[in-house]
This record gives sequence, C-alpha cells and structure tokens, in this order.
Amino acid sequence: MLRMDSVSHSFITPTGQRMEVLSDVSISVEENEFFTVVGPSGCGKTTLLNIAVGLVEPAGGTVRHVTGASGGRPGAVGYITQDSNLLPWATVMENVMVPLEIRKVKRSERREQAAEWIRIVGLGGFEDHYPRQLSGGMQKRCAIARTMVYDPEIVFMDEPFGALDALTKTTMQKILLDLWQTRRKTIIFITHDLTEAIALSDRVGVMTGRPGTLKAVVPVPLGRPRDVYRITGAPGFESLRNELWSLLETDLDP
Amino acid sequence: MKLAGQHEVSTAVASGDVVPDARGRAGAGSRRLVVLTTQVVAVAVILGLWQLLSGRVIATFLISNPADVFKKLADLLQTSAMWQNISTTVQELVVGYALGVVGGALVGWALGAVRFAGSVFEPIINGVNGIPKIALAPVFLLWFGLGIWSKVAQASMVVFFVMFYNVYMGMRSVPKPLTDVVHVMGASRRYVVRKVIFPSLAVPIFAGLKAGVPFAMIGVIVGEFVAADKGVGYYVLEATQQYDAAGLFAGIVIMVVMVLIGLTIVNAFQRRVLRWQRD
Repeated sequence: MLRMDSVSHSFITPTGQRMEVLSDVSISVEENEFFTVVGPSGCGKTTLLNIAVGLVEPAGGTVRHVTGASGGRPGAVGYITQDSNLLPWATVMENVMVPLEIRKVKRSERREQAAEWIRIVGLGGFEDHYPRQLSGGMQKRCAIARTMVYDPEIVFMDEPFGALDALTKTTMQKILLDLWQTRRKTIIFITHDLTEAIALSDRVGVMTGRPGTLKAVVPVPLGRPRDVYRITGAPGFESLRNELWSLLETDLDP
Repeated sequence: MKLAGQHEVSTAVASGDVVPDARGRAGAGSRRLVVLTTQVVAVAVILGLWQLLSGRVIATFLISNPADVFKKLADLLQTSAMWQNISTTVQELVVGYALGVVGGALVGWALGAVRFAGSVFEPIINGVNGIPKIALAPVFLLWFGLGIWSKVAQASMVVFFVMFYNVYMGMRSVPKPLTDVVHVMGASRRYVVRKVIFPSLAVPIFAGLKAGVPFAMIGVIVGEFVAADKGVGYYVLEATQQYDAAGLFAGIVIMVVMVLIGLTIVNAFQRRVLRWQRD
C-alpha cells in the first residue's frame, strides 16, 4: 500500500548548517494494516509523514502509494494532526463538508454525507458549533469525521491524541479502532506513547534519534478486537512494552 | 445512506468532552449595566469639573465650557454653512479612507503572497512610512490643489500604511498547518486561497479597518489646516483664530462624532463577518 525506499532528508538550519533529519528509512505498509511509528522527539517522525503525504519532497529515496483493490477512494489520502486544524471560521458541518466541496460532490449529498459522519463520531447535535466551542476531544472527533467522509485509502495520523487527557485519549483510541475495523483502512500512525502503539497497531516501527532511521519493526501479536481500556492487562503486553522500551532507551537523552 | 458498523462507534460524547458554553450569562447583563452607569458618571464628573473650572480657574476664552459648547453646537447645526463644512469633510474622509484601505490591502496582499516581492519592497515601504506624513501636506497641496483632493491624498496616505501592515503581516501568519491539511485533501490552489487564506485575513483586515478610521480623520484635518476653504478642520482653525473657544470645541465634537459613526459602521460589519469569533 505504501512503500518508502531509503528516504532521507535534511534541513538547512538558521545558522546555515545542514542538519540531517532522516537517513535511509525504508517502510513497507500492507493494505489495511495499522502501522505505528514510535521514536524519541525530534527524530524526524513528522517530516517522514509530511514526505509520505506529499507535502515535503524528500532529498533522497522514493515514496510510492500502491493503490489497492479494496476499500477507499484510489489515491485519496487522509491526514490527521495533533492540532485538529479545523477551519476556525467554519462550523462542524461546514468543516466536514470541505473535502466533499473539493471533490465537487453535489450540494444535497454533501450535507447528507457530512451529517452521517458527524453522527458516527458522536458529534450529533453540534453541527452548528464552531471549533472554538468544542473541547479537544470533540475537535478530534470532527477532524476524524472530516477525514473519513471522503473515504481515503490511507490515513496518516501524526500524534493525533497527544494533546488529550488520558480518558479522552482512550475513548478516541476506541473510536479509531472501531472505525478501522469496520471501514478497513490502511493507517500510518505516529506516537511516542508505547501503550497507544501496542493497543492500536499490527506492527510498530521504532526509530532512532536524529538523524532518524528505522531501527526495528516489531509485530504486535495481541488478538483482535482489542479492549483498549484494559490493554495493559492483556497477556503479552508487558513483555512487548519492555521490548519496545529497550529498543528506544539507547537513543534517549540521559 | 446507511453506513455499516456505525452502532459500534457511536459512543456518545464522553465525560471528558465538556462543552465550554454560555457560563454566567445572567451575571454578564448586570455587569454591563454597572460598567455603563460608571461610564456615564465619569463623563458627567469630567464635564462638571470643566464647567466649574472655566472662568474661575482658567479663562473662558481658553477652554470655553460645556454649556457654551453645547449651545454653540446646536446653533451651528442650524446653519447651512456648517452642514457644507460637514459634507466636505465627510467626502474627503470617505474617499480618502476607501482609497487607502483598498490600496493598502492590495499591496499588502501582493507582497505577502510573493515572497520575493515582499523581501524587496517591505524595507522600501518601511522607509517611506518613516516620512512624517504631515510634512507631505504642502506637497499634496501643490499637486492636488485647494479642493478635496489634497485632503483625500493626505488621508489615504495615512490609511494605506495602517492597512498595508495589517494585511501584509496577516498574509505572513496564515497558519501553514491549516493550508497543508486542506491541500492534502486534494484542494486546488484557488480553493485554498478562497477558503483558507482569505478568511484567515478577516481578523487583520478588520483591525486595519478600525485603526484606519481615526487615522483618516487625522489626515483630512491636517489637510484642511494647511489650506482649505471648507470643512470642519477649516472651521475649527477659523474659530481658533477668532478666539471662539466654544466654536473650536464644537468642531472637535463633530469630528469625534464622525469617527464614532465610522467605527460603528465597521463594527456592525465585523459582527456579521466574524460571527465565528463570538460567544
């Protein structure tokens, strides 16, 4: 579904020096897979995602989206970030209709489809609220509705729940997993929360500190469907978490 | 349209999702009343002090007094000469303001949109802005003559810079993550401009529109002070030369009212456009 071959990238710092952020990263994500990338902050995870969605041209390497046979509109890509990035001057309804407007969906269908997704993410009744009037969790629901409404094949998520409180975060994880299971999407998810990575993913890619490289890819053997509220008690969770920790800690600042 | 599996994820809005809604709306009304009352009292005290000091501590011909000013104002508004002055000043204001606002917004937009043009011309504009604009009044008089156009030029010059800086800075602070997200959804450049960049400029544009109103008034009055045969500024100068303090202050009151009317119009417009900012 997504193939990244020896992608590397560097920035020029304000002092004029070249800073290598990504070095030789190769990732292959299968159709309908939930793939998570964890790594220390500043390891280039966000840059990697920006390259994957096409916002940044990599300095080296290639990115290919292989359009799959199953679910989702071919070529359509979703992108959900830590800040929900809703249009502040648009209501929930208007925000969710944006991608439909871009795709020139008929006016009457736009409203209908948007309303359906607003209901699915549990925002029914808030159609005419502005983002400012919503809590962080509700903004996130709206961002998810806005992405799912145009049925992308791949959804990229950059620490989407990073700014939420623990309770809201777990609820959002459950919503996401339910959606992923029923809608069959390929999801590439970035986090620095190991519990979250294990609860959600099929495989976890561990990155090193700057310049970021992919150090290991660890499969998550836990069965599905998973109970995100009790995931820490699942058999095998502890040992997996320890394994991921030991991969990560060599790269953490003392 | 029925979507599969929706029952599984239709978790109602959970406990963490608290809606920040109309809290303490009842208290807001009475607080407003208290503020308003205090304001009225404050203005009354100032006017009272003015009335008391005038003629007792400070000579009346220097500061007049509220009662005389009010009477003068009532008399002036009966005369067609004063209405002609007002009409002239309003024309100068409206045309000067409009030209300055449109010019400043267009140049701000262009230099904000084209990075290269911005880095070339911003320092030059900063330099021109460094000219004390009052010093240009004689130049405008020379170029545009005694009539309204020298005042229009003066006002639009001042408003131009106010608007330019607001829109230019606004263009530079359009949130990139917002344009990125819409871009990834497949939006065209035109769509991004129309639906993201333009709305995000609404706030700086209104800041410029508001700041521009009193600045336009300054420009017009400076122009009228330098040379004019009509206008409220011209009237004020005349009154001063005749030691008519009541007339002078009456003229100033008219100017203030004009600025307040202008601001009221901009505010009404803003409330409609920036609905999303309100509670």
